[in-house]
Amino acid sequence: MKFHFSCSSLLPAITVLEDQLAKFDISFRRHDDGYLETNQDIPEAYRSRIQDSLEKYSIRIIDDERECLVQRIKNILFEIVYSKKQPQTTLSSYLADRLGYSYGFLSGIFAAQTFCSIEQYVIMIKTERAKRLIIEDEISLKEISDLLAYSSLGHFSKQFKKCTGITLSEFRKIIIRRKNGDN
Amino acid sequence: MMVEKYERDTMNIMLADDDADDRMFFEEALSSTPIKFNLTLFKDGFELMDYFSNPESELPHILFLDLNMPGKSGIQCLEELRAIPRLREMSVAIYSTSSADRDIEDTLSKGANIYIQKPSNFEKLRKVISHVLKTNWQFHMSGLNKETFFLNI
Repeated sequence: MKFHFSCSSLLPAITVLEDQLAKFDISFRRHDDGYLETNQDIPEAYRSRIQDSLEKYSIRIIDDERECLVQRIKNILFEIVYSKKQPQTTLSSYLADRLGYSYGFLSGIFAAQTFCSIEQYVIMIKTERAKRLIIEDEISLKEISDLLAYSSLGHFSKQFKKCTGITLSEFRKIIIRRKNGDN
Repeated sequence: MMVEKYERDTMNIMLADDDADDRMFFEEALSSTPIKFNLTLFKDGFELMDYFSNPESELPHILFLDLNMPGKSGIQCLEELRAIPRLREMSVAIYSTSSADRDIEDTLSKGANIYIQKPSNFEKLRKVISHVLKTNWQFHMSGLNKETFFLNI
């Protein structure tokens, strides 16, 4: 039997992290942007052992502050794209409010680290979510377009083509051919 | 303390193309982007498949595959590569002079992620390579699903 699964949340990673840190008797507070704050400093000697225990789950500790900030931005962007509610304000002021830095500063750091603008990144993860929804084949293209807060189906299909270089119907055709074992 | 799923590193890139000029052109264009890379070149499909037939061979972040190679074509290589389980997640970019819809649909259906029509001038090639690598990097770094990674450029 074949089944598809997707994992777009940080929850599995956080659960693993909690379990692993508990082994070292480290207590911590979890922040909702996907980072942890420990209640006491972690002795240097422990750090490499913790890193080792996390490595097999492909989780690593980010030391670089700029990289941390970029990851927090990404986490918020995923949260926005994957939640039903869209923020009431613009994306730029929402990010600035949540992270406490100006949008200019955040977008500069983001572009320097990822080679891509925050706006491009949002389009990319939105398109990825659209692809998953098309493959799951439970809701119509119009419903997908509404769910992802596009102003119209036309806008959605234009942006899909711009981002991937293929049309929605070509995408469907390719997915069906792959499913039927043409790969 | 933050959680992230992938390691940051230099980009490992491979290219299989029988045309020596095209290989040189590609390397020059790649060198003119700001991206740090290691490039491995293959002269034809046989050389490429030889490399991957070793189960311990290192995998690239992305493989550029010329469609029209004599002996073993790009599409044959693609089919053989995708039949090897450990290579399923590897990004494959088809690199071709053809712009036929049929070639695009066929190669993407057979497991390619990216379809690139070989640009005719250097500046365009530099831009295309840079765009492809950056997009591929986002997929890699954000842990996005490679099975639905498509780009036609």
